[in-house]
Amino acid sequence: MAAETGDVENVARVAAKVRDNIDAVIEGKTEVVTTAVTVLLAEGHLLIEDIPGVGKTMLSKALARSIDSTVRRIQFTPDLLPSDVTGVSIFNQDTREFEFRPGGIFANIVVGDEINRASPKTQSALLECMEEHQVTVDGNTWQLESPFMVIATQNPIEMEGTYALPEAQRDRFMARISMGYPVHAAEIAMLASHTSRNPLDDLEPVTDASEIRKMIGIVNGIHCADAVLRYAVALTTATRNTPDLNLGASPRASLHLIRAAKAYAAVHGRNYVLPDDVHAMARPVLAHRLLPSVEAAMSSRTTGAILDSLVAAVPVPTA
Amino acid sequence: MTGRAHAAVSLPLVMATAVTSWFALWSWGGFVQASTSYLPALFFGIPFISAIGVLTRWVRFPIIVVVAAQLLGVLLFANAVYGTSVIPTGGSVTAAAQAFADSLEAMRQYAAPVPTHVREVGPVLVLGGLVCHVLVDLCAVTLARVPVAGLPLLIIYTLPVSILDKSVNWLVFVLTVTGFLMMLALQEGGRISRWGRQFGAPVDAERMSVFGGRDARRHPVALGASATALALFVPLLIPTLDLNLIGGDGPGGDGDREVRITNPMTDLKRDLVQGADVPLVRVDSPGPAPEYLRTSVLTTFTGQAWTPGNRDLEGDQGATGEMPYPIGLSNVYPTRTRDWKISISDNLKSWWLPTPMYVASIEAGSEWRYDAEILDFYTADEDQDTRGLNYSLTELIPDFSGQELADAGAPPSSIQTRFTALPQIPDEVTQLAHDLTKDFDTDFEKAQAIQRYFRGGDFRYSTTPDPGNGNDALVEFLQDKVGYCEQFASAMAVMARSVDIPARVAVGFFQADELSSGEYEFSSKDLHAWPELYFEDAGWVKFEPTPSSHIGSVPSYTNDRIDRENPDNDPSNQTSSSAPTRRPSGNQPSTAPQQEDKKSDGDKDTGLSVVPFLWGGGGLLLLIGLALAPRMLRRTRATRRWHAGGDPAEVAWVELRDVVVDVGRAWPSGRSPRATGREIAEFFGAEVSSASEVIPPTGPETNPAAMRSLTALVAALEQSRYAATPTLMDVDEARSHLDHCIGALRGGVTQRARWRADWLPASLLSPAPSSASARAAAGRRHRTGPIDQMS
Repeated sequence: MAAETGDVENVARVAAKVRDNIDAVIEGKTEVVTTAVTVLLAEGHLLIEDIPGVGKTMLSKALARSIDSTVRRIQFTPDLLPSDVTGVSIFNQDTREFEFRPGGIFANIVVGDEINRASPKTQSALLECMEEHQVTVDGNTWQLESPFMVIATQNPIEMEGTYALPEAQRDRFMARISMGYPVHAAEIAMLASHTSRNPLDDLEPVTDASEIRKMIGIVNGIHCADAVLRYAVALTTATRNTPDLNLGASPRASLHLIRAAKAYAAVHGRNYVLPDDVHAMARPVLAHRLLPSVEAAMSSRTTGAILDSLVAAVPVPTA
Repeated sequence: MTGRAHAAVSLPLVMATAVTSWFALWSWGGFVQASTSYLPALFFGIPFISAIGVLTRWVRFPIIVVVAAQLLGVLLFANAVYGTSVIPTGGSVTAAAQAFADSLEAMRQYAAPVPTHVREVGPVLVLGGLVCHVLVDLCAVTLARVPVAGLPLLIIYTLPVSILDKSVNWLVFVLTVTGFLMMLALQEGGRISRWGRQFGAPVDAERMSVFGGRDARRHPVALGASATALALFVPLLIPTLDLNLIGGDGPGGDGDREVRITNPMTDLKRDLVQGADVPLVRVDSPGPAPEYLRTSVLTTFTGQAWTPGNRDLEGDQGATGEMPYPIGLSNVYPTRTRDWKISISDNLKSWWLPTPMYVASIEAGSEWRYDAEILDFYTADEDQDTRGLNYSLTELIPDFSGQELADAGAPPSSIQTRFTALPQIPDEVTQLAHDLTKDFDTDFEKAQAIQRYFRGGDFRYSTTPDPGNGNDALVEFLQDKVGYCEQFASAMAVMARSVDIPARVAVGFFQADELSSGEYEFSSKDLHAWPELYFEDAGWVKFEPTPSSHIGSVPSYTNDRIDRENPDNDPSNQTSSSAPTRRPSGNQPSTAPQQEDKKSDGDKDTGLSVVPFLWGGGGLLLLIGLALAPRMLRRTRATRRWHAGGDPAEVAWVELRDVVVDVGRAWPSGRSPRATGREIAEFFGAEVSSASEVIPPTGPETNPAAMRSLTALVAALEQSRYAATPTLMDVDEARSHLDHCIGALRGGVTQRARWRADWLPASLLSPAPSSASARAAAGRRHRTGPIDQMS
């Protein structure tokens, strides 16, 4: 099912609308916003990892609000229970039956704030839902509505009383992004606008869940040439072979990489994937899955830097 | 440090290199009798070439230009030395080319060492030596790889060892090695002064000299010296290694050293006077009594004696089967054959095989070798001689008359040069020869005149005089008019050579005695020597100067009366009569009539010297072709790419890659089209051709039109490579986009880089892989690479 050019242009148009909408709230972070929109269209989940106060929650809320869909926000705390996430069956005295009360996960977009503050048990309950797109409580299974996207934030600095996501669970997130500090001018503009009122209040949805579903279908039909597949595999293989990394990218990482690249191509109005798309998505998609070797960690080389050098070294297949 | 400063620093290295090259070339002294024929020229030539190198490097020309300039310098120098003027005019270049051609010919004909009187041998050695020096200079100075320069130096040194199979003076070796170590030291010093001290070496400024640090153990000179010492002394310690690269002879070679080829002349007199008539050769052949059974031919007159010269007896020239057709004998004359069965008695011990003059085929066994030019036979193994040998052969007998010989044309220059070469000979011999022959126009009549002079009755045959055929014996013989066959033959051959008739001396038997019908015997009293003179189309022709008292008959043609119906005022015969006299001048002392002769020869030489002109023209064309070849190849490749079809965007991309390489930029490999395009855009410049040598500003912003084209090309390439259903770009569109990009790329480099892109396109050396092979390579990677490792 190849994507038609017109459809793809539509995707690009909608993505641009969403992006512009978010840009009104978070200034000067086009790259990050584009990645977030890309992950949305690739049916992935997003992990936003950064220090407090740079707009992680703002980004996730803005993205959620730009789409006319159900949005839930779960503030993860150490005492949060799995049932708070998935839902719980309660005995209804009137009907004398157990009745399922859906948890926070039942929404198109779930914003999980400070996910590393929850206990591992709760984290894994969430992560299972993320992977399976379904919730199983007391033997009953409920499908989650599409689109389904978890935007989780976590704070890498404040480690006391947190439960860092294990590698296996980080692998479930399609991409990890960092916000970074705003540029000088953007920060000034932010001060000017955000002090008078909350910009989120003015944010209007620019698209809805059904349109996003349609676009996800289009993204799945984006053509990906053999050469590009080979390139993606070459990249993930390189992460497995380099001595700088103890843990390389999984086959799921390859899969996520290609899906993200397809969405990235669609966001840029192309109905075929370029090696450059893979290249652009490699760092957000792969970096958080890798574990540096002791030597690399000792010499303060981040996984991102190691990945960049690998990407620079792997040649692009010509045909 | 800049290149200019570098060039200045390496000046001592340049000088050391030049001196070392010159010393190394002393080893070529073994090729000639007197090394003065080439060493003085090299003494000036090598500094000249080095100076060219210094200048061109100082201007910072690319390496190829430096080498080309030096090679051009070699040619200019050769012209200045061997041409007629220092400025390379047409005539001068022709003269130099002729000198070189003569020299090659001489090299080919004479085995080393080439005698001093053959003056033309210098050009080859000088040219070769200078080219070798260019190589040494290239390695040592231009490329700054002194250790590599050891290779060409080694080649120079080993040439005489391998070709002449003899050792070279130890002094040359010592001087060369010293020079080479000096070069090493200078380079090391230059490197240290450029890059600073090595880590770990003591900081002691006073101990740094121009030769660099003085840590004796680490210094390359110490290493080199130790290596040389090892190379010299280890073989001495190992008794089985007999390298003997260094001999005790002087640098000028060690003269004529004829090891194996003995002189048959020396035995002739002894055998003639030994008294008893010993039967030696029995011949079984129907027909009249066989005459002139030849054992060997003496081709070289050294002034002391006639010698067989040096022969080229290849292993595949065994005396079995068909022999090559005699040189010079053309098929205008009818030939007949005669079969011989020869059995040699136990009394004839000879390393030379008795045969008639021309042998069509022979079965004597491959242990006898024939000389392909001379057609005599020599043993391959000196333990073996003719005693008791039986063999058969077919003689080839050409039939010609004296008139036909008189009408013969000029001999080829190879024969002319080789067989008229004479050392310094007494004036009276030359004078006599000219007096005898001055009334005759043709070579044949001159030869007849000389033969008549000896057989005319004034001369007396006697074996009494001392044996010998050198200059002294010759003068004595001509005064006393008493001698035997050897002296008659020798005198006639020398006199023929002095009037420019190619001549040589044959040694063998004169006439056999009939034993029974068809059975003949040569005995020791039949031993004889006679001259052979060369005439075009007839080849070598026997003459018989030995008086009739001893030799009754002469070859019939030598008595033929030559019809002199071609007086000089008859224009119709002018050419035919003058043709035989047309030949280059020989080596005789100049007298007035000869100078005239020479002058007319010179005039006629312009007719002959079409050949050097052709060579020169051909060489010039070749040079032009070589200069044009890279450009042509590059254009052909581009045209072929477009004609081969395929995706225009791919073709344009490959072509773009080559252009980028041509203008001296690096093509980013292994990048996606888009990433590559981004890097290429940085090379773009405005499309105005500035003649300045300053690198113009580059970047995507300098040429927006080309950027649009580049973007379009990249997009088309991405389409064709990655889209599901690519829409291919139009060929003309691709070409016009490519032209924009090429213009921008050329606008982004200096004039010199553009010139190089046109004339020496670097992409020829590193061609872009064709898309098919790239695909195959990608496929291989696909099979053996990541997928395998993933599974």
